[in-house]
Amino acid sequence: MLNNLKTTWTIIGFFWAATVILTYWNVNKIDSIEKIREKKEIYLRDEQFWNNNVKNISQILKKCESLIQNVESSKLGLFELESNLRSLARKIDLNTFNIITESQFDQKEIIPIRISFQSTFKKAVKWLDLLEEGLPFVRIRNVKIEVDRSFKQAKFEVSINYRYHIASK
Amino acid sequence: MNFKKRNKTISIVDSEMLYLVEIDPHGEKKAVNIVTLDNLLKDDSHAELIPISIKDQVNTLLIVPDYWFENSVYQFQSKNKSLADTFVERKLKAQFPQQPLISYFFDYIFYQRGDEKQWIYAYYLKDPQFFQLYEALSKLNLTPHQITSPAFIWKQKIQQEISDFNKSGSCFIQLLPNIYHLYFYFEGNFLFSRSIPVTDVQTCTSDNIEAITYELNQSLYLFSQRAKAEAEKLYILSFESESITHLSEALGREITDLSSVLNDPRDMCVADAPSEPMGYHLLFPLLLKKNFLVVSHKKLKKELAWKPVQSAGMIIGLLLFLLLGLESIFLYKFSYQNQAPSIGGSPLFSWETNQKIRQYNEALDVFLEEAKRHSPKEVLAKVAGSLPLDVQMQELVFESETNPGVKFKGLLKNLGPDYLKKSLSVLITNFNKNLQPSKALTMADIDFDLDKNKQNYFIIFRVEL
Repeated sequence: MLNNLKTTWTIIGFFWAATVILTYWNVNKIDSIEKIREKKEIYLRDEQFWNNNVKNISQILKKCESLIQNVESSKLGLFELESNLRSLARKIDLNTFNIITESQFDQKEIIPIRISFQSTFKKAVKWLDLLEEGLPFVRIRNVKIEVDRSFKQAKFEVSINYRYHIASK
Repeated sequence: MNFKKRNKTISIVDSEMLYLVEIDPHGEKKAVNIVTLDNLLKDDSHAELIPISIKDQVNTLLIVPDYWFENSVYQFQSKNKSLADTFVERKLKAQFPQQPLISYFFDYIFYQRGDEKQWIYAYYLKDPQFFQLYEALSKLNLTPHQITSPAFIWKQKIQQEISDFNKSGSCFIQLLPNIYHLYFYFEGNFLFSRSIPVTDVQTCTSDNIEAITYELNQSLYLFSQRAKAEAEKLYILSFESESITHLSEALGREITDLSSVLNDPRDMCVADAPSEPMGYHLLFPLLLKKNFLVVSHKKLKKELAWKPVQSAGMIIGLLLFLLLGLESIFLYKFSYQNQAPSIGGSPLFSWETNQKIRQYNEALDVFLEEAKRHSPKEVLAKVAGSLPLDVQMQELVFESETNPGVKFKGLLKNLGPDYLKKSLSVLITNFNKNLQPSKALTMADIDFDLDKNKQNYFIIFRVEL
């Protein structure tokens, strides 16, 4: 009799255990479906975004690419940069233009460079403007200006970071 | 699980015979099968003694002779069922150490006597023949759910009809053509019974009346000894009214005839078929109500008490299992449908496009970071624009990296403190207005000192952008 009672409880226990397992399985399945749907939704939105902004995206990507110069070697890149910097300086008649490469502080694909020159405030600001416009892969870290009252000129010291990427062929 | 209502069986032990009365779900008596008790208890192959129609039916009730039951009365103050249960079980084990099975077949009721103390009336099955019969019926899958005796059934019936039945000792006489039964109750509880067969079918004969009177007097004496009280009321139910008058005269006592409160009592022996136990015709309507005292095997009682819970648990569990199973199938198919077209569904939207969108997001982050940076050209122009005419710049350091800011060093002519204060105020206002530093420049941030000649002030401060 008591065995009968135990058997019935065992059967009931089995049904309820199966119910709990099914509930757990269903909840997991719903969760995974929800994730798939979310992913699908993101894909669809991305697709829509891509279709509407394909031109803008290309422009932005190009601009972003210009923030890092693709070079074959860092030395070659540096050489080109020095040439460009001097060329910019010549454009606005900057005197005593010195470039010091601080290779000892270089990080991964970044070379710190210190530039010093003597100029009027106006010319220096113009040079900085040309630098920002013409060489986007150069990032200005700091600018130090010391004014020499007697010569009506200032001594400028500009620290920059040269950002490059060695392009593999 | 079988949802179809099955026929039930009521089994009655009477005159060394077992009557198996089949009752349909509507309570109608369908068939009566008789098995000799001796054969059932002795024969090992007694399975074939039971008719096929009875097998696997629910044996709801077993009515056994009164003498198979025994009763005891104990004083017990608590009304706690589990305490009373343990108490009675312990008492019975102590009282009948040779019959351990008694502890499975007992029950009790609480009642109060005139002294307002609480008592327990315990009734239990004690006859060894009962245990043999119970085992035999269990083997035949006819385990009786409840066990009672005629005395308990009559007690319930008389209690319903006679209001002062519980107040004193009473005797109920049932006169049948071949037998007469004497049931003795004290304060509504059954005490003992006697069944005396008569040789002459006519109860009214002087011999029979004399025999009944003698037997009744003997029993009344026994009752007074057991109950320590007299049987104040005598009730009778007879198949012939004439015998009631004769018996009353012979005893010299008033006997209450119950035929007026029971339906067709004169009919009670006529309606019984020869294959049925004598006198049970009147009891059948009462049997179905089941409001009389019964005993159940303790474990079976537990099983029966849990049965509705188990049934509900099983039905709900099964329904949930089916529903969740269907849900699982649906979810499985639904997830498959969702998954299939999602990857590479559109030829335009390839991995490369995804890659470009990712690069675009990264590029946007870079541009946002760049946009946050202060342009040196703009900062220098703003600083120059913020300087009052009497302030000469000596040194300027603009830092754009980790902690962006402008460090300024300049000269101001010494024209007195008021002039200095005024000039510095203009400087502060212009700086805060043009550069909008993260922390506004205040007079306290500016350090100044006179030069050696005391002609100029040196001004030094730093503005965080």
